[in-house]
Amino acid sequence: MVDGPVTGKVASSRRRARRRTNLYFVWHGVGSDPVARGAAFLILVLLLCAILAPVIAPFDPNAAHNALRLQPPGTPGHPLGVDHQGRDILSRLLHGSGMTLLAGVLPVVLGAVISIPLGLVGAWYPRLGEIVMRLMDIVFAFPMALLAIMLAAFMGPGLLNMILALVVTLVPYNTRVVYAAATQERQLAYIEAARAAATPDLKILFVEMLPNVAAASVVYSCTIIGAVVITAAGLSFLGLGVQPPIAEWGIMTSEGRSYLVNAPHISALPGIAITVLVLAFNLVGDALRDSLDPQTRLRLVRHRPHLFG
Amino acid sequence: MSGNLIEVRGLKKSFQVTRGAILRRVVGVTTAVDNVDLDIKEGEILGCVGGSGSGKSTLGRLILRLIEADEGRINFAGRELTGLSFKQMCPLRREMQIVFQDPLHSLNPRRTVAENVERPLLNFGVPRAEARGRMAELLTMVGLDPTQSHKYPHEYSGGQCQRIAIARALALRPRFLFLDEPVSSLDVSIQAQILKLLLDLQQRLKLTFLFVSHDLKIVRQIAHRTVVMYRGRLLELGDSDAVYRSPMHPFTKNFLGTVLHVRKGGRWELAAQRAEDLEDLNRQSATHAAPQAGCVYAGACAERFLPCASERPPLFRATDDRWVACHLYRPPQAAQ
Ligand SMILES: Nc1ncnc2c1ncn2[C@@H]1O[C@H](COP(=O)(O)OP(=O)(O)O)[C@@H](O)[C@H]1O
Ligand code: SF4
Ligand SMILES: [Mg+2]
Repeated sequence: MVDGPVTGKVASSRRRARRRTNLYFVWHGVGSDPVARGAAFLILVLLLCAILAPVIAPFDPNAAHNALRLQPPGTPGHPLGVDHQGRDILSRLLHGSGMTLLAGVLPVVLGAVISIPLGLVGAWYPRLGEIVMRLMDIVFAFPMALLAIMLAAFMGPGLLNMILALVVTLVPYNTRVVYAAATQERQLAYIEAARAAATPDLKILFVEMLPNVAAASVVYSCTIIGAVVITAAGLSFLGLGVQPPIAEWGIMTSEGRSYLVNAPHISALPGIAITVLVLAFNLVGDALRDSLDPQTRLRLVRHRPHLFG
Repeated sequence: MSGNLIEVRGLKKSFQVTRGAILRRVVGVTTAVDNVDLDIKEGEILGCVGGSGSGKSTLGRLILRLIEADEGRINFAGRELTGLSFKQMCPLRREMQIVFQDPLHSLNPRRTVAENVERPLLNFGVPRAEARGRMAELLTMVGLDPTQSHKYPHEYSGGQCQRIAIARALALRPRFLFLDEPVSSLDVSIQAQILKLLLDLQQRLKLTFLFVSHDLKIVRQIAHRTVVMYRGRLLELGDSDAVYRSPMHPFTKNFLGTVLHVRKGGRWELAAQRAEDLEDLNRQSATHAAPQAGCVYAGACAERFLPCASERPPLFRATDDRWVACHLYRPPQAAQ
């Protein structure tokens, strides 16, 4: 019935070799921007630190070197100094990186996992969506940090409770992002074309729409990790999150507050570490936004077409 | 009656504009398609013209059952579509497909061209390898190079995207295509190419088209018969050339006048603009009149007379194959 000179086999093998996935665009999009590349590298280093802390840290994070209390950075054997309890700050920073990442990143990831389906389904079934979003509005009435504090206080201190409190706080924000993106997306004709081709609703939502909508959520998540790290640190500071003596950057910052005049490095060093972490995630988030957007990402990779033939 | 692929009877659809989820209230009602009877013959191109908001897209979506009708029946190839479930509708979806006005947005931006075209085939359980081969055939058929199908829709021009959308619509070997302003957003030079492609495919694959446009000039180029829509109702139906050369309904005359005027100026966009003005004008006057009685065009009609305000004219048979919904064409014996 249909005639054509090109056989499917030839076309398909070529196509498979040259298909550019989201990962391809993220890799080359983030990779082509030196600032984003540096930020991504930094996050990788942090992850490595978190994993390798027991191996590379010079001391046990809780070992007290009482004779060296409050010594500044540059002390022999303790390049970043010693805190008020005689603990090596470099070792505590290294050990704390895992906990800090966990407290900052896990709630965001869990929040996105809940928000993406919630926002998608809400946008697809407008009545349900209206109800869900009105419920979320109640949450928006509280400032994010205050809500997290209230929830954490209600559930009691501890890492798990803090993560749960942060997830509950984050879900409305992320859901709103997904809901807005999905509401726009479902108006587009390709969704109707999918319906005309007998695609079931769930497949439209989670196969056709999800990649377009998840990008918005991923970018948003990346930019909010900073705020979450700070909120988590704040909760730990208030005694509602991670409990001392566990090394965590937020607690470390707060523990040093009595010594700001005599030994500012105790607070300053973990504070700087948090700032760098937050900045790195924000920069990667910005680069992701460009490399996940089908309109802009082509520009990012256009100068390297030779890569995939 | 034989030879009709699609028979529409008493089709009606109104949209309610609502506010609020928990305390839902209706703040407005638009009757998008109002009591439409229409036959589409097997193998014909039926043109459908009307101003923006006259219900052309809604009519096509109702026929494809992309939206549910409030009232009326749709018969497709002898099968009653009304009331079919999603499952029952599935096999019929193979036979009727849609092409949209905006070619770029009618393709999933994050899927390659190949994936976009293969999607309908995969939905119907065609094996992946076979779908891939068929995708290449389809792209060749619409004049595109299948070796470039790994690209994303943004890398193609508007006209090329429309070709891809046509290829996707043809993937399931449908009998009927609903073409919703398929060339309206394209450059004039590209329009001609796409129209030629559509005509060619229609003849080669023996397709039936419902071709919608707000531009009677374009419809006349491609359609065998033309139906004129206004505020959800069919006002005139007849051979495309006849409707174009000797319009009968006062609305068609006015509508056509704008097109002719615009042709002289050389800017076809103005036709749509003018048609929208006509719609607006009438909508404003209609808010005061009782919406259920009288001719829908009475508010703007220069030839209105006594029965126009009280009685809604059905489609009268003006000549052999010409139907006009206007009291001026009521047969003398007042057939009832
Ligand atoms: N999903 C919808 N919700 C509410 N109103 C709609 C919807 N779709 C169409 N309408 C209304 O129905 C009328 C006809 O629309 P449409 O069929 O798109 O007209 P056309 O395609 O001829 O421009 C318009 O007044 C439009 O506002
Ligand atoms: S029925 Fe009356 S108002 Fe309507 S188009 Fe005909 S003459 Fe005009
Ligand atoms: Mg339309």
